[in-house]
Amino acid sequence: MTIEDAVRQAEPELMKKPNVVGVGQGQRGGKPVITVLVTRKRPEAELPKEDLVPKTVRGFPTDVVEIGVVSAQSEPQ
Amino acid sequence: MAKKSRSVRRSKPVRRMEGGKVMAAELQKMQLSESDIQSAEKACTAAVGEFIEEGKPRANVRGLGVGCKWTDGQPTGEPALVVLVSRKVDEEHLTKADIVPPKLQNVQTDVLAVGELFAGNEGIGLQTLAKRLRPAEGGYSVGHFKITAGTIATCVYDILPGGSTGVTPAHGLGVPPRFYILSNNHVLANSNNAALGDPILQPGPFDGGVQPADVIARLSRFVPIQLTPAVPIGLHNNLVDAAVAEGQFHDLDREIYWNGYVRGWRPRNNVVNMVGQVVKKTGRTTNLTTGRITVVSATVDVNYGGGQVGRFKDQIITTAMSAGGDSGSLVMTIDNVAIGLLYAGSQQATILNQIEHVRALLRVEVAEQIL
Repeated sequence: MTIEDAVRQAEPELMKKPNVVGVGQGQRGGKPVITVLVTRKRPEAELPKEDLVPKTVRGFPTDVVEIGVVSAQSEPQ
Repeated sequence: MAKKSRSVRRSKPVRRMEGGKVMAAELQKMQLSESDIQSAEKACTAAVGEFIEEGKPRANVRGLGVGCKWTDGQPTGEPALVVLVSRKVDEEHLTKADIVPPKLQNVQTDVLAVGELFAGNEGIGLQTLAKRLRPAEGGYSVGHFKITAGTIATCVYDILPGGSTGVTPAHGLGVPPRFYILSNNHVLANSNNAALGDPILQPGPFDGGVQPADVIARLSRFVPIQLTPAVPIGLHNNLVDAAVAEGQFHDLDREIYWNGYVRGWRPRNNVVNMVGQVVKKTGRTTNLTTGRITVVSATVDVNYGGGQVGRFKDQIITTAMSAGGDSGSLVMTIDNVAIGLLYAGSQQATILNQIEHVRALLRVEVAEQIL
C-alpha cells in the first residue's frame, strides 16, 4: 500500500477523534509518515484509550503534530 | 508594535513623523513632568477597567496608555490618556457607544492608530501592501465590498480553446476573452454570501477601499465552500477556497510584487513529492515570506468565523508563513512555479489549496507552462 492510499483510508477514522483537525502525508527523518494534526498535544495518560492516535496505521508510522486553531486568513474584523 | 505601545505607556511617545524626523522642540513637548505622569497613570488604571472591558469591546480599541496630547500633528506637552485603536474612523461612522469620549477620569484623551497587534510579530500590520495600485499586482490588498481585506494571488485568464483539465492537463491556444483577479472565495465572494457582479475593491475595505473609486473588478465565479452547520462535516468535499473577479486588462498586472512573474504551475501529483521543500509568497500583511512544505494530501478543518467550519481535502500544509490578510496569496517554488493558493493558517502553520484544483474548478490559467 502506498502512503497516499494509507492516508486516504485512515483519514475518516482519524478525523473522528476529538482534537484531531487534520490528517495528511508527511515525513519524519526522511521516511514517509501519516501526520495527524491536533489543536493541542496532550499526554497519553490524559486521554481515553479510544481517543489516542495509534502508533502505526495501515503499516505506516503516525506523527502527531500540534497545529493550533486553523482559521481562514482574511484581515480580522 | 509592542515597542510602540510600551513607549506610549512610558509617556515618551515617539511618533513616526514625516520623513522619520522628530524636531528637538517637539521632543521636549512630548516629555511630561513626573507629577503629570503620576496623575495620568492613576487615571489610566481607573479607566482601563471600564474602557477595555471584556465582553463589551469598543470598535477598534486595542489598548490604553499614558502619553501626551497631540493636536494638529503637534505635541502639546499636556498629559493624555492615549487610546490605541487598530484604525481611526470618523465619528459619523461610529455608534455613540464606540466613540472615544474627550475625557476619561477627567483626563483628556488622544487617539492613536496602531494597526492590528500580534504577539511576537513586531512590525506586522505596520507595513502592509494596503495601498491603491493601478495596474494592481499580486501581493496587494483586495476584497469584496462586504469583507475586510485579503490578497491578490495574481491575474489570470480563461483556459483557452484546446486546453484541458483532468488526468492529462494541457494548455490551449488563442485569444483570452476575459481577465481576472484570482483570490479566495472568502476574499472575493464573502464566503459564498455574494452575488455574481458584486464590486471588488482594491485596496480592500479594511485598507480604505471605497465604492466606486476603488472598484477594480466584479465577481465572476467562485467555488462554493461547504460549511457547518449548514452542511454536516462528514459530507464536506471542499478542495479549494477560490474565486475570480473580472477586471479590465489595463488594470491587471500579473506580476507579483517582490516575486516577479509566474513561470508555470505544478500538477498536484508532483507537488505531493515536495515535502520538505521551500516555498514563498507575497501577501498583503506579512509581505514576502518563505516556508517549508510539511504535509501533503492533507484533510484539514478550517474555521470561517461565526462557528462555521469547512473540512478541506488534498491540502498542502507549510510551516507558518502568513497572518490575517494574506488570504489569497499565490505560493510558489523559489524559482517561481505556482503550487498553491494560500487561504488559512494558525500560529504554527499555513494551509494551501493545490493550484491544479484551483485551475480545474475555476477554469483559469495562471501561466503558460506545466513545470
